Amino acid sequence: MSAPRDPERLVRAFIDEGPTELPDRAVASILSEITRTHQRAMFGPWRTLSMSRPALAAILIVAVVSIGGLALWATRPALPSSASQPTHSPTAMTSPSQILPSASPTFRGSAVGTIAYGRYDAAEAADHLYAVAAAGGVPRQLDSRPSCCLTVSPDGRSIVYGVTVSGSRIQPAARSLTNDTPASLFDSPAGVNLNLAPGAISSKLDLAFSGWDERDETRNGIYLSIGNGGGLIWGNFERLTTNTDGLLDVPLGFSPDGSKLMFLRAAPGAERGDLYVIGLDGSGLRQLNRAPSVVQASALFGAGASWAPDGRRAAFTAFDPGAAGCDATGVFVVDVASSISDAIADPDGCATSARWSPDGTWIAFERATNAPGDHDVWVMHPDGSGPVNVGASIATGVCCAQWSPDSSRLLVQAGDASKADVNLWIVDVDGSHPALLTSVTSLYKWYAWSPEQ
Amino acid sequence: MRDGREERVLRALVEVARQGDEEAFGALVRSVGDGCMAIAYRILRDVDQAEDAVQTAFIAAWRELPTLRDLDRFEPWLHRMLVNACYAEARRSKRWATNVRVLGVESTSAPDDVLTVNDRDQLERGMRRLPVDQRAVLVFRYYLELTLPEVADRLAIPVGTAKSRLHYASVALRSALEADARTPTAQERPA
Repeated sequence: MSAPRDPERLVRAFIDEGPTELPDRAVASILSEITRTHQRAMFGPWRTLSMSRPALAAILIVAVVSIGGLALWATRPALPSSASQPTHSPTAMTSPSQILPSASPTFRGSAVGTIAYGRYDAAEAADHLYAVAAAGGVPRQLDSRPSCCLTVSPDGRSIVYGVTVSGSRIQPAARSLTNDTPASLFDSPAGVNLNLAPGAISSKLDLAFSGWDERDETRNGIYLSIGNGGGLIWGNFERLTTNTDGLLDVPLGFSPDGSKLMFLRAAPGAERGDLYVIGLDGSGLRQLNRAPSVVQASALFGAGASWAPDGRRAAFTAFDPGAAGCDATGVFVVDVASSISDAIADPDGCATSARWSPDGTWIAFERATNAPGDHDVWVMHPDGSGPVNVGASIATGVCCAQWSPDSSRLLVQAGDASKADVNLWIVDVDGSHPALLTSVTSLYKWYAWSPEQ
Repeated sequence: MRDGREERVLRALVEVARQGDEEAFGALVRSVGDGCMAIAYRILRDVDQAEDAVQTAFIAAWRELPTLRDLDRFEPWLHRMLVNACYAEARRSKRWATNVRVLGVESTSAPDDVLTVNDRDQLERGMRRLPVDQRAVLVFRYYLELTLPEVADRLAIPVGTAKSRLHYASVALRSALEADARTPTAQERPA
């Protein structure tokens, strides 16, 4: 005899079923219709104000003086910080309308390597992947299909990414970054039947995927394809992590020696969760952040954590998403073997995108609040000394750095993401010589700097 | 659920579209259109009618956008227009009343939240028998996972009304399922 079934759960399951997409023909029909439809005309209260000319002139003078004063205040140079904790420049507190590069954006021939990135195409409502020389030039599209989740191999020669096929399904793909060899598409190995999104690639070309089964969440976890040293092929395919409570594990990066994997454990679709490390043999699962703080990782912000070049430590940013949205924010250096962490900074707002430089001397991180354009990128030494606001010479809305292979420069995004008005910039580690890399304003994701030319 | 950055992108699009920018409005349609389609279908139980309702709602939203005072309230504001468009569609056509699939019968023995063919059939019939305003409450409560005060806000009705509509709709659907439980299975039916 079967147990009584819960009618409310059945009703919920029934309501969940059904189409969830507005067909393209309906979108086209709406857009066609609005070109023939006028918006309602609005007349502001100022049209009904009865005011004398002197009063209007006085208000105008006050407004001009106020705006001028604000502009002068906002564009004054940032004061260097002498404390171990960053004190944030008021330049980052300006409004989006004040996003005016103070430097002449010029491409420089001295930056070496190739930069790969994803860019959102609003017309298509999809992301595409591109590569461009770090010294500037014309970007080339890496795949004509909508793509996501770009990861560059440590040697910079190969990329793995996800191709969006049949609606929202993602299929892993790999190709060379340096030539135009067509991409190889990988379907789930025979009998596995999982959705797989690429997350990390090691120096040995081992691959880590976030895998999920929409009908059976107990299969969600990280899956490894190892033994790909001879090229990007399906090697031994095995499951690394098993999660409970329907959570999803997202690989963030292999350790430099390729023996461990750092990953985020979060609710599906959430971009904040707990940071873990695990050996590739499944041993040593360890949480690196401390509850209730969470670590953020997303397409726009990148990973909130990265390995030190020595492979013994990692840097991560975490915050408590409590009452104010970003309480108890910190930048941490953690000893991976013991999970003992030291806070090296406690900036205001949210901190994300901790990136340890390849030479080990710097940690870059982003600090933001919910105010539009209020993002800035700081670098400091792993002991918390020498903080520098590297984006102060570019503009407001500077976010989410990636290091150049020689650790002398940073690749950042700058602009107003709330208006999809962002470009990629290259700036020296001391904040000097900012140079605009891209010329199409949009949203930029998954960008990385490869040493390969 | 959108993150803070997506919310800010949406707000910026609303701000630009409000000034008559058709391209920004197009981006808004692409951004929130799928969600509207999902809601409209679940209320109307008909794909063609749902598409019509979504189109009506977006055109009304375009026309009235300059009157929207709080840009952060765009989606609740749009949902209210969408529900009104669904009500209008429901009044305009009664075709769903006779458009009920008759499906085969199978055992009702299945785990919670795993729908059998019978469950779907009975719940489909039950939903179509519900007044459209009760369906709207069900969809906003169970599909969008809104609280009752939020449902009331989206539908522009008092919280008590939302509560009673949810109660009556739930009882009706529960009865539909219980009726199904009393239906003889295929093996028990006469040949």
